[in-house]
Parts: sequence; C-alpha cells; structure tokens
Amino acid sequence: MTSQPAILTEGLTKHYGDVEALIDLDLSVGPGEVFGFLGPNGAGKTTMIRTVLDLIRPTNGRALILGMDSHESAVEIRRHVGYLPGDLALYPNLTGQETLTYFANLRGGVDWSYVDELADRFNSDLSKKVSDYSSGNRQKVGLIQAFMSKPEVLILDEPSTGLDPLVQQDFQALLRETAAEGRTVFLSSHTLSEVERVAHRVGIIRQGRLVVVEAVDELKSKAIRRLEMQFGSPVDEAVFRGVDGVHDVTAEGTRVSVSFKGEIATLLRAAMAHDLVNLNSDEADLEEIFLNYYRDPESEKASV
Amino acid sequence: MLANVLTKTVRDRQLAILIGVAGVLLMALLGLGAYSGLDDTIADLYDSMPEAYLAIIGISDVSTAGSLILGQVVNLMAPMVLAGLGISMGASVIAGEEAAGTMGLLLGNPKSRTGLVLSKAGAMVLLLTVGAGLIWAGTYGVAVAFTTDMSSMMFGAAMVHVLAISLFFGFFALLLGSGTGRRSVASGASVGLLLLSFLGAGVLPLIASVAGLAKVFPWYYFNSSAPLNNGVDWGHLSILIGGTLVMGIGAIVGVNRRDLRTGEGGGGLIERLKERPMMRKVTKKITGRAKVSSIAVKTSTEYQGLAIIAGLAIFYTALIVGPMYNGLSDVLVDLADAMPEAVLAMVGFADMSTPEGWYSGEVFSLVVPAAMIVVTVMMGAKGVAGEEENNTMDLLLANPIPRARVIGGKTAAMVLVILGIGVATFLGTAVGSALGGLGIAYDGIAAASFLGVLLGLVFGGVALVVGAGTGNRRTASYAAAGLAFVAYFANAFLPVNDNLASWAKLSPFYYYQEGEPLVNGLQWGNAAVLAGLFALLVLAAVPLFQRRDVRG
Repeated sequence: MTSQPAILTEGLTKHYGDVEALIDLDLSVGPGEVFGFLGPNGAGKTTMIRTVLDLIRPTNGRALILGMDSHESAVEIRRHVGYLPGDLALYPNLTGQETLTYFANLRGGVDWSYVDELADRFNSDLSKKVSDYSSGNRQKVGLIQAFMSKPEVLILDEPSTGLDPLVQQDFQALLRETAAEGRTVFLSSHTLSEVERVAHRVGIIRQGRLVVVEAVDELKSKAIRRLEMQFGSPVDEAVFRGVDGVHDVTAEGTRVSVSFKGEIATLLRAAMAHDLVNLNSDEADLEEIFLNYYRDPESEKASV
Repeated sequence: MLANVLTKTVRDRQLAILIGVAGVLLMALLGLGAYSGLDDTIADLYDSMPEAYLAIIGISDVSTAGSLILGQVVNLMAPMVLAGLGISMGASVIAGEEAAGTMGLLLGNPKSRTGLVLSKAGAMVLLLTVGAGLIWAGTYGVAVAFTTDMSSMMFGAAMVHVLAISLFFGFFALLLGSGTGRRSVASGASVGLLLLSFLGAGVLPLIASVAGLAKVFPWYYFNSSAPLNNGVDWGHLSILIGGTLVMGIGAIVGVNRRDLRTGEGGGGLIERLKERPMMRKVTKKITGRAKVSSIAVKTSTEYQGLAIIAGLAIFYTALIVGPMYNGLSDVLVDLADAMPEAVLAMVGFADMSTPEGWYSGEVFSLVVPAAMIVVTVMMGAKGVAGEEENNTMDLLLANPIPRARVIGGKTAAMVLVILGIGVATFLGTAVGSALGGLGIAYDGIAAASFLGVLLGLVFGGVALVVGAGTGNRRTASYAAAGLAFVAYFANAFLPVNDNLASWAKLSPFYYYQEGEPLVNGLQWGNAAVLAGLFALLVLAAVPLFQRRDVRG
C-alpha cells in the first residue's frame, strides 16, 4: 500500500458562469479509507466528483487521484477507479449481462467470476433487459459495474438509491471488505445512517465549501448525549453542574437528566457517589450533528 | 407560457417552427436571387414542355422564373418542412410524454387524456397555421424584393393546401403515437407515408395504366389540382380536412383504450416488432444480438435495423427504376429533346432519356442522398450528444478510454453502416440496370454509390462536430439537416445563373453530382474533396469535445 493519498484536491474550484459550484476545496482521502461525503442537495457533491473524474474541468485548483493529475492522466486514472454516477442511466436495449460485458471490454482485465460473485451477492438477474429492470435492479447493475474490476479507488455517488434494506446491508459489508483490502471508497450519500455505519471519516460540503472533515468516532465523541439517572433518594442538581462535559442538568425528585459530551467516566464517578439505581443513555445522534452542519452557516465555528 | 398544456407545447415548439420557416424563406431567397433576370429564357421554354414532365417536378407554371421558384416553395419546400414539423409534433403528443416518463406526472393532475390530446393537437394546429402564415407573408416580402410578379398566382390558396397536407401528416403521426405510445413508430411510419405518397402522387400519373392509383396518396389531394394556378380545390381540401378530423378522433379513442407507458421501455420500432411472436424470428435475424466488444461494434449493431431498412428502401427503388425505364423511354426521349440543360439542372435531374440520366434523376439525385444523410445525421448527432442526453456518457468515460476514442468509435460505426447502405445502392442499381437491360457500367454505379456514401458522411460529420461541440443532439441534427437542405438547393439553383454558378462549388452536392459518375466513373478529385471534408469535420470534433465539460 502506498502512503500517497488516494484522492487529493488542492484549491479545487468550479464556476458555472457566475455560479460558484465548488469553492477552494482542499481534501485528502487516504488509501484503505471509506470517506463519507455529505451535503444538502445542490451543495456541490456531484460537481466535485465529476471534476475529479475529468468529466468537467476545474476553474481553478487541481485534483490528484493516486498521485496522478485528474486531467493530464485522466485515462490512466480511470484504469484504477470504479465509478457509479448519481443519476445512473444505462443502455435500455442491452441486458444487464451485455451492459457489463461492454464496460468490461472497454476497461479490460475484468475477472468474470468476480462479476458472477457480485451478481449472486446482490441477487441480481443479469439476463433481463435494462429497460425491464426496476430502478433498484438497475442500480445493482451499476454497482457491479463499479466494483467488477476491483479498482483501487471507488467513487460512488448516491449508491444505495433504490436498494432494498437487505441489499443495502450487503452493499455496506462489501464497502467494509473493500476498505479492509486497502482500497479506497469515496461515498457521496444522503443516507446518514449508512455513512455513520461504514465511513471512517466524513466531509460535509455546503454551498460549494467544505465545512468540516472529521473522523466519525471523533464526531461521535463530540456529540451531545442525554443520560437519565434514577437514584434511591433525591439528588441535588449542583452535584452534576461542575462535572466536565456536562451542559444541562434537570432534577425531578429521584430522577436526574443531564446532557453531556465527551468521556462518560467523570460523570459516572460523580453519580456513583450517590445511590444510583438505574441509568439510561441515548446513542450519540450523529444525524443531528450532520443536520446542524447542513443548516447553520456558522456551525463550523461553533463548538458542537 | 406555462399556463396550460397548449401554451407550454407552443413554447416548446415555436423555435422549431421559426427555424423551419426561416429555412423555407432562405431557399426562396436563394432561388429568386439565382433566377432573377432569367425570365426570358424560361418563358421561351414553357410551351415546349409536356405537362407530364411538369407533373413529376410538381410545377404547373414555369412561365417566369418567379413562378418556377414559388412553385417549388409551395409544392415541395413548404409542405415538406411543415409536414415534417407536424409529424414531429404529432408523434410527440402522447408518445413523447410517455418516452420522457413525464406522462404519469402530467396525468397526476386533474386532466383527462382526451383533454391532453385536444390541447396538444390544438397547439400543433396553431403552430402550423402560424408557420404557413409566416411563409406566406415572408414569400410575399421576398417576391417584392425581387420584383417578382405574383398577381397571376393564387399563392394564398396554395398555402391553404400546404397547411391542410401538413396537418394531415401531423394528425397521422398523432394517431399512431396515441395508439401505440411509441414515438419512433409514429414518426417513422409517418415519414415513410409522406415520402411514399410524394413519389406515388408524382410518378403514378405518368403511367396511364396505373394513373388512377395516385388517388390513394394524400399528396394527390394536396397539389394535383394545381392550387397555385387554380385556387383552392374545395373537394380535395375537404378530403384532407375530413381525414385529419377522423384521425384526430381516432387518436382520442386510441389513447383512452390502452395502458400508458412509463417511458422506461424506450425501445424503438425494432424492439416493438421483437415483442410480437410472429415477427420475433425475423426481427431478431435482422437486428442480430447486441454486440458489445467495442464502441464501434456496439454502435453499429444499434443501427443494424435502420441500416437494413434504409438499404432495402434504396435497393428496391433502384431495382424497380431499371425496368420502368423501358416503358417510359419514349416519353423521356421526347422530354429530353424539348428541354435545355438549364431547366434539367435546376430541378436536379439529368438528361432522363439515357439510362444513366434516368437513374440519376430517379434514384441518385434525391433518394440516395436523402436516405444516406438521414442515417448519417442521426448517427452523427447521437454519437456524442446522444450519450450525453441519455446520461450514459459519464459511465462510458469512467472507463479508461480517451474522449477521442469515443469519437473514433462512433465515426467508425457511421462509416461501417453507411458503407453497407452503399453496397445496397450498388446492388440495387446493378440488378435493376441488368433487369431492364440498360447496361449501365458497373464502375459507374460503384462510383455513384461511393460518392453517395461520402456525401452522407460529410453531413454525418457536420452532425458529429456540432454534437461534440454542444452536447445537444437536437441542435446537431437540425444544423446538419438544415445545411444539407440548403446545400441541395444551392447546388440545384445556383448553376443556372452564370454569375452565381461558381458558388455552387461550396455545396458538397456539387462534388457528388458534378462528374456524372454513372457515365464517367469515379473522379478522384471529387471523392477527395468529400472525403477530406469528412476527415476535417471528424478531426475538428475531437478537440471540441475534449475541451468542454460533459453535460450531466
């Protein structure tokens, strides 16, 4: 495994006339990483992906894939990249099998037994015509197409669109295996739960600007959680007020409820000093954090 | 303009109508410009020309240059352009929304299918009427500018007939589109009927024994009464209008009786035929299996069906024309004696008294270039722009292939397909000539067929380069087809006027016809000009495509 980034953008900027679709994007995605790329509709996710793939050209800045310039070495790069477009369209008059054969011919070096394996895994019937597929089944053909050459880098734009929950699970497992093999997955998605489950790091883009890049664990540890404690006898709020990471305390009789972020150990020590009977904690809600970034232009500055 | 279905349809289609009108007026301008000052020459010829010949070219009064040109406008250009636009609109009324997958959304609103047909058909009637009106007014303007006397012509009456025949074909396409939900079926069959009926109504009256058969073709009711001279023929007009209304009602009945399509099954005519058990075997044989080994192979197999249909059409035309010569040769010799070269040139016909001239006039002047250009322009326009409009270009370019290879593959497919049609042209003419005992030299036939291939490739190249530069399939096909139209008429009109004759060399058609290849064999210079032009266009397409953003 090389140590150079799988995807590196430097000041990547794209304007359409007066519209700034992408502004000064600096990003580095390492090998073996699953990188979740999030953002509201029209934020610039697809523009970023299409720029990196040389389908459109940056107004400024550049992108390097596996150390190669996205424009200068566009063809060589695509030998190592599997791509699933967000708005997937296939040739309606071909069958799934023919579609994959066509792309395998254009690409070269595809091991057909792996295609069969993927088709089995996604329960995809390749003998039907693309025009007869439901949108979910069409998406499966698109996914097989992206994975079939075992590319070093996978760029997937909204990959789980139309997939049923079982196939989504299989797909997520495949993503984890891919990363475990040292390959890179760049995953643009609206399915926050999916990103949370599979991504090592996430980047959030809003109005063409990358507003945050952070490890998922890191974000989780920053998440505000609620903890409800039941005591044998009433406890004063003040006991928890001074504890590290605690935000907000309400006490009603023997029940105390606190909002906190960070390590739970200090909070627990403070509680254990009293007659703690039961406690109940919400899972850190990453979705809420994501949504905060989506919503508030100032949120990247504010502490979460 | 988005107030209702009618106004939205007008909004979507008004540009096409304006472009069509502008094209017709441009040709009128070109014709009147080229012929101005030639009145005396033409008047001298008038008496010596048999009526039968004038009937073939659809002109009933050539007493002045102006009447000849205006005759061409109302008898050929305006009805072809407006009927073509009518077919395009009619075929899209219901089938277009189905193909685009927007039908569900549209009918999700409280709007009935009948209401939808009425609104869209209303828009079609409105637009074609406005188009006919603009051609009428514009031609008057052009005539005034060239001081052409129109007082003896019933131009308005002729345009009423033009409008009626255009609506007839528009509604024919509407009927088929509404009944089948297949736009390609509707427009393909309508264009086929249009061409068949144009040829049938023109040629059949020449042969006494079958002259009556011309009446089965709608075109007969359009201009057999010579409305430019005789005014509106209410009998004929009511047949066209009556037919139009009946088809309109048929369209409403058709669309209300069937399941609507979602647009995902975008297969064309061939796909449709494959679904019929009886036709499955034949169509599968014709189209073969999709082959996907490369871009060129995949693209050419996609056009295999179209190539076979176009090739067969040319083959049979060329085949029948040979034996027909024997029955007509006496008439044709008389005609040829009566007519000076200038008149023959202006209608694009060669000396029809010789077998070579007969074939040039009947097959190679219009049928071959039209069929070849239709196929190449379609392939050229879809080559790059089609993949972009279908959103498949991103996926294609995600493979390790440079953009130049996409253009190379699409070009190779175009060459392959058109060569096949070229071979069909050669075979049809060779067999037809042998059947009729005409003895046309094989190298001449090969030369004419080859030049037809090259001519087709030039306009396919135009479509490819515009598509590569813009990513817009419609722009590419309109630009290439429009250019072909103008080039055809420029080559037909300009040589008549000595002062303008050399300008005809700007038209690719000049190099196609100039050397009389059926008689003289291949003139390499002409072939080189066409081949060079095609090569330049393809080469220009590469940087144009490489430099821009792919539409997504």
